[in-house]
Amino acid sequence: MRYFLKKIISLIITLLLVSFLAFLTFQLISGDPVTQMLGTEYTEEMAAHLRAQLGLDDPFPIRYFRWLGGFITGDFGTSYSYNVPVSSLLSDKLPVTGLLSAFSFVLLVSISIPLGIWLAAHEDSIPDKIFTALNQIAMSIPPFFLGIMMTLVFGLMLHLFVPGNYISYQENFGASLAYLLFPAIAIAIPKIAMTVKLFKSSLHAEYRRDYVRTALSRGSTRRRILYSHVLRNAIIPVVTFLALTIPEIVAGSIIIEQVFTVPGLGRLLVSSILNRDYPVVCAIVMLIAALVILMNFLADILYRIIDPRIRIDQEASK
Amino acid sequence: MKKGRRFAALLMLISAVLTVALSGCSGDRAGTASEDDISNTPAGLAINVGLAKDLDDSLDPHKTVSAGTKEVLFNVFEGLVKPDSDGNLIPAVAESYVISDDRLTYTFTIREGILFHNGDPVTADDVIYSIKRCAGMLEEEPEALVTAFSVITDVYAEDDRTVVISIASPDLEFLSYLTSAIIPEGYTDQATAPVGTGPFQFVSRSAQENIVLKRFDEYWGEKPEVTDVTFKIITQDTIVTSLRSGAIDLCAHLTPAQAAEVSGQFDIVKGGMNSVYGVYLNNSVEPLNNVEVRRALCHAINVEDIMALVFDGEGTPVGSSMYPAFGKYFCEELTGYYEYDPDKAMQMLADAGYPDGFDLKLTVASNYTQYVETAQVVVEQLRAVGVNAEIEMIDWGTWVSEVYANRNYEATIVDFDASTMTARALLERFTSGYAKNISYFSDEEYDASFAEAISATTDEEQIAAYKRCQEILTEQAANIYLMDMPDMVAIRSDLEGYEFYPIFVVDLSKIHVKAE
Amino acid sequence: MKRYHIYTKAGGILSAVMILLIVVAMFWTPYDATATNSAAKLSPPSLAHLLGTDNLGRDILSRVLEGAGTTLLIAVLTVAMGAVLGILIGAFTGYYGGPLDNILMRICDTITAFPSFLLALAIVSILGSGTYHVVLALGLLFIPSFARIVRGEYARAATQAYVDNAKLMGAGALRIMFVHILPNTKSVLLSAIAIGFNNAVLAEASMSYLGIGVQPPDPSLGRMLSESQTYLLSAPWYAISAGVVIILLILGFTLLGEGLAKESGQNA
Repeated sequence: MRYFLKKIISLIITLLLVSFLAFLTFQLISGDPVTQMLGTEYTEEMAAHLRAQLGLDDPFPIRYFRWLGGFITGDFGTSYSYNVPVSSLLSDKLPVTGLLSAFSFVLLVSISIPLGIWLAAHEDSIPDKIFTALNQIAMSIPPFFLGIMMTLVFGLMLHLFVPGNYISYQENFGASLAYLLFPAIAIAIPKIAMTVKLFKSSLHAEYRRDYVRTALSRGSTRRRILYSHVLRNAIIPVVTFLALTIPEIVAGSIIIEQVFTVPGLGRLLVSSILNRDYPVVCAIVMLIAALVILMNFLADILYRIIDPRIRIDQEASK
Repeated sequence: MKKGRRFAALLMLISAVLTVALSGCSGDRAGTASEDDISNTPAGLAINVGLAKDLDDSLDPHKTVSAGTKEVLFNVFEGLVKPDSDGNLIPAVAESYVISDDRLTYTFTIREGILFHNGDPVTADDVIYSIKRCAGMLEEEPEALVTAFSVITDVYAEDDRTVVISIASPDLEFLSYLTSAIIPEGYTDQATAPVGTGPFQFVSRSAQENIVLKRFDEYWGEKPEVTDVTFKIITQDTIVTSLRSGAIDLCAHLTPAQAAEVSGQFDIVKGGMNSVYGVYLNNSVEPLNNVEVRRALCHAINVEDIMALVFDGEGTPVGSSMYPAFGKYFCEELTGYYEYDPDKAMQMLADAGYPDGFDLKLTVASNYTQYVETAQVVVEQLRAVGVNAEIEMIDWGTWVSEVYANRNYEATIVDFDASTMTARALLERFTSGYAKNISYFSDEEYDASFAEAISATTDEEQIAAYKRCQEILTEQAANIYLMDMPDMVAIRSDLEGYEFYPIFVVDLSKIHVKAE
Repeated sequence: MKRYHIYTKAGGILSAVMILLIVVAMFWTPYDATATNSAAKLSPPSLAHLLGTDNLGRDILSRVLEGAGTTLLIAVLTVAMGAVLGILIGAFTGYYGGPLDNILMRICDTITAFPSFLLALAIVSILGSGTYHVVLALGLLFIPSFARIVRGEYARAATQAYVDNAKLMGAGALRIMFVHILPNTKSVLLSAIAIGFNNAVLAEASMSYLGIGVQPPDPSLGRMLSESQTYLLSAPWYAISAGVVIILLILGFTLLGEGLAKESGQNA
């Protein structure tokens, strides 16, 4: 219980630090939201008027606490560029990135786990060796390069999808999902390669444990041991790893959204940074940060459940 | 053997999963493709237009600032008058107008039966409200949104359909400013859900995704053949793939290289960008404050080579701050005033006290491919005459505040347009007192000529004065003027009717299916 | 007679070839990598231009080699900065624990949770663009992962017998940390460095793909990829050249790192 309390307090502290850093970044970065909003032809009076209207003249701490107060009470402010509440922008774009990330994660899990098991059961076979070599290459491919190549091959040459023709999930969910398949694959492939590799080495280590040798000497088949004991133990570090890949998948979608012109949080984040649309940027930053922190927390809990040694170590180091 | 079979089974399973997934989406694609095909039936003509930049500012026609947003809103809003594709002003919301002999009173008759998109008739009150709003004459809008409207002394309704505007001093270009949109009085959601009188009405906007318009069936003029328009927000880098995949049917502002990539599949319409593209110099920093140095730089730049490399040989060179679409003001003789001559440039630099050249920082905004590519060619050319130029790429937000507003730079590459179709928009920016005089250009004769042009009472006087301004800019080598960039439009080969305007707009009302 | 792991051999050879090419390109490239040529725009691979030319007529081979050099330099410096500072932070926090540990770990969490694109853009915008500022921005991002790994190793080591022995023999804390414990973290560190290198190359390429980082006309693999998208169908060699070079760079170093980690893991 104390552990959870401590963790939750540190989560809140981290989020506060993130929000402060996000705000500070815009204090330091060059470029001014007012000149962005007024374009190239404006007078000093107009700029001063708008600056006062947005409250940008107030000192930094006041602006920070005003924003923080709003954020905590659920008021994320109004986008400077789009003139709509930030919350409505987010509720429009979050599902897009959510869908894309969830899709890549489903692909990741549904391909890497069976593949890992199959390869472990056929260790040192020819397909295993081929896969190991391919795996190493797949791990080295930048997802956005994969995306560009998929656009070329599947989009422009084979016409399996129409690059640039994203269909909104509100309009046609199936068609939207079909379009997101390719970006999802581009994000998933390097992660699948990493997961398979980790899973294989985890299984490999598990097979060397004493209980496996004992079981084998008693006449159990390798296959039976795999399903009865080995798998359950070996999959746990993989589950932890998968929890940690979720924020990476979300972060990876930022750049993949550019390649496939998917209008998600990533494109909104990049364009809002370039437009100096602080309310939108701060809200997205907080959202991503919360996700990263929560997933780290989850991975930590999973880790504790499976590896009591950590608890002892931490206790001892105090 | 057994192992092999199981491996094969796995492979089959994976490929089956992928095939199902892929065929699922190819089926969908076939679905949309067939929808596209039937889109030309009496049900209407729906087209997708690509935009390389989002409409990420206010959609309020009086407050929107980005050229990209104005370009789209051109289809939604109209002023009392509006430009046609030849640059003439034609009646729009007003069906006719009378200008008094002393050019101080403008009387407009509102078009009979004209409606806003929300179905309300356009009244004299709406017109007065719109003009006052732009002029800063309303309490809630104390800033003048159109600076040239500061000459307005009074706006009043003579009767339900007649509005009179009085101005303090004659201004030959005043009518051009009355292209400012007429909007309904008391409607407060213009910024997000604009309502105007144009041929298309606004349906929806989704950030970074699209802007949807549909035909306004109550439009007073000729109704467009296009019934539905979806502007899809893509990126510079994905224009070509989006066109080739068929995701978009029309895209303006392609570079010639992009146009060449899609020319087999699309019809390409060529025009000018209608802006003055150049290397703009900060005349207040060493050594650019020396006119001989600036002249030497002009001699060092080979516009032909820039056109060949970056624009596939397209574009129209210019010699001063004016582009050719402004026929009556454009001075063709200034083009080529500084012939390309690197030896002469080096000699001039040596004479000016820089035999070994100097360091120059060229600041460019990274969001326009043309700027970045041109910068790379310019750097090569400057290095050839001993000037050690380096590129500093910044994002557009930083450019606007650092280079444009604060004028904290040495040299930059950019283009300036004239959205109001007046020469004033292009030349006022180099008068000494102008706050956004990006070049810090200061010349007494220039200021005098400009003042003369503004207060001129005849066209001839005005043209002569504006031409004199351009000559001074060229002679003083205020900046290195390059060209009016080529503007290529790709349009699906079964469509036609794209027209270029002397200003930066995309007019969708004349797009139609080619006759068989 | 030491036998090298197959990964070490393959990775070593691949990396050596890449580094050799990059070093050669520092002194000599077939063409000037920034020289434009309007007569040879987008020409396909040929004997004159082995990988063809780009849209400004520049030799792609020369550009990918120079670009790879820049990427390699940035990645190496980034990982070095992340590793050195990460080891220092991780060693102290792991060995001592306490409030300092808590504070530094919260700061690390903050950096991890912050979108890297924004942080990098902020640093580059404040300091101005340039290779070393990119290193600074990315290096900062790489500290937390190293710090966390090293911290875990140190926390574990602090309870082990050999550390107690060293303490009894009167060794100072610094000596224990960097002479006794550090060598024992070798295999973990090596794989962390390999992964870090992989991520650094990716991060640099992604940044320049999005338009921040190395300034043109100096070649950068990420920017080449973003520019090449326009010419994907008519000049696929442009995108493929830049992409394959990134893959080879990452592949060589990850293989080498993993091989070395495996070997040292077996020896221990």
